[in-house]
Amino acid sequence: MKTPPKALENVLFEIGSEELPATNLADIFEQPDNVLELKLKKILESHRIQAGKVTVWATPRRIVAYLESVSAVQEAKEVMTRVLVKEEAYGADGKPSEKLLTILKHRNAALADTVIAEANGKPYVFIKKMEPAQKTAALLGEIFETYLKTLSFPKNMRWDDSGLVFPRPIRSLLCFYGRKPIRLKIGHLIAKSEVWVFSKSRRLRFAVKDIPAYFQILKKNGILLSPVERKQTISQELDRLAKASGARLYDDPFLLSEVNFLVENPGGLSAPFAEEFLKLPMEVLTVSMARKQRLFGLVDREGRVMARFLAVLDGATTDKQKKIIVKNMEGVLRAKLKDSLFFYREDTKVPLTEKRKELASLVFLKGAGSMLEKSERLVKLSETLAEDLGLAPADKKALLRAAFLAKADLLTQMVGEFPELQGIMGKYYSRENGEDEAVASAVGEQYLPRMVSDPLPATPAGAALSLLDKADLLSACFRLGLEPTSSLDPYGLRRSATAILKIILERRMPLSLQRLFVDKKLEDFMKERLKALLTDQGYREDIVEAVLAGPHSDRVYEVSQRASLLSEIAEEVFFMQACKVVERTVNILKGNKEKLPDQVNPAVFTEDLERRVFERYEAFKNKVQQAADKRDFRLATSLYAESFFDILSEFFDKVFVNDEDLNVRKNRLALLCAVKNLYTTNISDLSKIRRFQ
Amino acid sequence: MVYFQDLIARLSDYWAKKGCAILQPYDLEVGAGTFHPATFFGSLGPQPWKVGYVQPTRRPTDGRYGDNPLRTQHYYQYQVILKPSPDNVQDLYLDSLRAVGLRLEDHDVRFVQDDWESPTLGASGLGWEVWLDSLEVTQFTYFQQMAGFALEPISCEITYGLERICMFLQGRHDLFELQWTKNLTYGQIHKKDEEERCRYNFDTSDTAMLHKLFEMYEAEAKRLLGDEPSAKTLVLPAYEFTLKTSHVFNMLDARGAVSVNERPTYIARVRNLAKRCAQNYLLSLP
Repeated sequence: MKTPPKALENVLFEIGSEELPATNLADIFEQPDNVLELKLKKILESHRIQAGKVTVWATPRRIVAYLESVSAVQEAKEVMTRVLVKEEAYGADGKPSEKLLTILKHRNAALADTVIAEANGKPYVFIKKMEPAQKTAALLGEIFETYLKTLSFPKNMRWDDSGLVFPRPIRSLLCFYGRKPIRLKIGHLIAKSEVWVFSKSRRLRFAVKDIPAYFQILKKNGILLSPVERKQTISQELDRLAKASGARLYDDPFLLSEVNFLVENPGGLSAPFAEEFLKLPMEVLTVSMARKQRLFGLVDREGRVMARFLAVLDGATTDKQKKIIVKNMEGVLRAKLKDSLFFYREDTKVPLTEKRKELASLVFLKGAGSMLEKSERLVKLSETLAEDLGLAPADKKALLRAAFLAKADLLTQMVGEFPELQGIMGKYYSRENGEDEAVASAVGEQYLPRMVSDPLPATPAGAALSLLDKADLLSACFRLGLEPTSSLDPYGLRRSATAILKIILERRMPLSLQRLFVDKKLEDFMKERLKALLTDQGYREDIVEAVLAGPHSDRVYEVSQRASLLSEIAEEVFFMQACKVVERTVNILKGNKEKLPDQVNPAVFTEDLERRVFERYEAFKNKVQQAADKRDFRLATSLYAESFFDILSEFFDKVFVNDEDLNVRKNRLALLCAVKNLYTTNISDLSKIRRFQ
Repeated sequence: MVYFQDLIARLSDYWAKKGCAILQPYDLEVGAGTFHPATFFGSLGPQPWKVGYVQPTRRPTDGRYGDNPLRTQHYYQYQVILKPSPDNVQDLYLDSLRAVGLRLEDHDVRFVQDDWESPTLGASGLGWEVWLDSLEVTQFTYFQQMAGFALEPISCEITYGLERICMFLQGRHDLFELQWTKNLTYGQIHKKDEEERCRYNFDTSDTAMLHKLFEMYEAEAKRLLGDEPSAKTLVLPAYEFTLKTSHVFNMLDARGAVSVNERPTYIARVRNLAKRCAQNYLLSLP
């Protein structure tokens, strides 16, 4: 079967569904790699079909795959089937044996289809056949069925008896191969050349003639298929509306990504609400608006929340319709905010000190006791940390009190309604209870930073409490064997670890990891995070590794200081020379299995070069050490390079280190070890530096 | 104007025309129309089933002493069960809103994901909260499980919040201001009992008695269900006692008499009864 090469075609596949879960789609499309595209590419690859470009878009009501420049047929594939050992296949006369001919007959192959090739070191007869290359159009049904069935969402459902599952019912399919509609069938669904568009909650059906017509119909109806373009459009519209009120948008990236998948054809509106609700905390206002109504808040130039909301609507809306919608939304907002006022009133009837007692009935982590126990632990840990940090008495007092109150707001109605307000409500309720502002702030800052873009705690007590809260979580999880895996981190331990490190670095806390954590595994985990954090901040990975392999590597702030100092000199010639010295000594010491003497013994020297290296070492040892102690790494490193680079080059050229005489050899190695240690135990392990090797 | 009672009549009329049997409310305190045997048992088993009914609903913790324009501890749901769920069920639903008098083109209608779950019934499904101008007016669910049993065929449950829909029809933002009839408001009928029940539920109820009732109701349900799964038990009376335990639990919850720790245990006890009711019911099917 020969297929003449055909022109490349575009392929379109639309899954028309009822409203898909917005947060699931947002999760997928906020990733740098779109898993929907990756999956489709993989399936095409396994079907040996080439596509120039694969794009997958989604709106609440459709997932659309668009494949550009798709090959008309599968790539050819050669299949080799082993049938018989050669000596059984051919007689001495070179003629095919009876057995071979029978096998070939059964396999529907001719002698001409066979080749001889080696397998397991023996010659065998193989049947060599080209797998028939099918036309792409004929494979699309199978490809898209596999695709649809392997799209993975957190929760799937059934809606009919076909056995098909998807996050919400699929109601239509459409598929084009070039101009040719493909009537593929999946479950009870048969692809048709039509597309559904919702307009004002009415379902309109449009016949689709070809792929360009499909895009045109959507465009004409205002539907933005591309999530990126749609998000941009929404964002611009919100900014425009905010500016019109002399304000800016209250930042809520989650809300924006979710709303992006609640609309196909976005439009915006802006409206005021009653000023009386401004007495609610800003966080309560904006969270209620976002969670209960998907409305955006505005803040003025001073960062104060304004009595106004923005909404994103779906579908073209006239001014008259907008008026009706605004009035209704405002009415709903009033009812919801009244509810928040109710919670606030109820919550402030009982002081946090009373509420705290009930924490006994709240589980912290299964196997790690109650929240009350955690709260008591935080108080105890605060004592120690305050000492370690040398906190001012006022800060220490605030920290202890804040640690005592920290978790009590978990039992308030407001946090029950809006869990993301934990800590924040604690702050407001602490104020209501007449606690010091430093206490309230620290309680409010205990969960900071909640996400990467968040600021760190601003007060000394808040920083300490936040650090302890996270350190306690890490310790508990590691003790319970709940450490994160490469793909799963359900307790957010990586984020917590990074937050701890950021706080230590920002506040230059003189803390060691050993002091914070007893678990060696946890200490290593923290060092891994520290490496990731410092490289994120722009330090070279090898420099960070060198520092972490050097002295004081469990002192977080010290590590960052050292990485910074080394980075300053990393491009210098003397740095490279020092690296060479360390590298060569480390390499030669690697091979050694003997225990080396603690002291180098000049009496055992047999070569003049040995003596000279030793003299250098003696002469420069203290200078290098002193410079290192003063953290003058520039001076220390240049002295080190100056003293050893040339002479060690000569040494390695001329002296055979591994002398036959064990004593001589061990003494030589001890000398080299001393030279190496002079740098690695005082500054960093330069053998980790890769750039110059 | 579409009065509150007109709304009910129009929905009943609409769904009757779509082939539903229009039933009456269940005469026990329930937290949702889902607890009505017409939904709980109706969604189990293979037989087709299409019903609609009003269900007065009690949610003690949602009370606000009659002070909130949208939240009350007692309100009315209109519940529709379509089994199997028809392919055009979303359109049927939107048409029902038009049938009661809503001009959908004047509103922002949104289907917002909701992974619905009733822990006390062991029921779950996927669907949406349907929002009208940012207010949830309907819970729309494709049941996947009832009492822990995977369902086949799948039922679609549409639960209308009648007061909220009526607010849109009448242009009111406070449910107590709704006109039940031309001369009677919702508030005239329900404001006083809302306040009284809130005071009872939150401040006055006898928690010791409620604890005792829970034990008694549970014991009676267990007695009726027997020790082993059986087709011959009195399933419906057992289910009624299950519903009573559920309501008593909600009453205890409103008094803050259930600690965070105990909550899951209470819920599991109710769910266990519901599950056994469903099990015996399924065994009794021909």
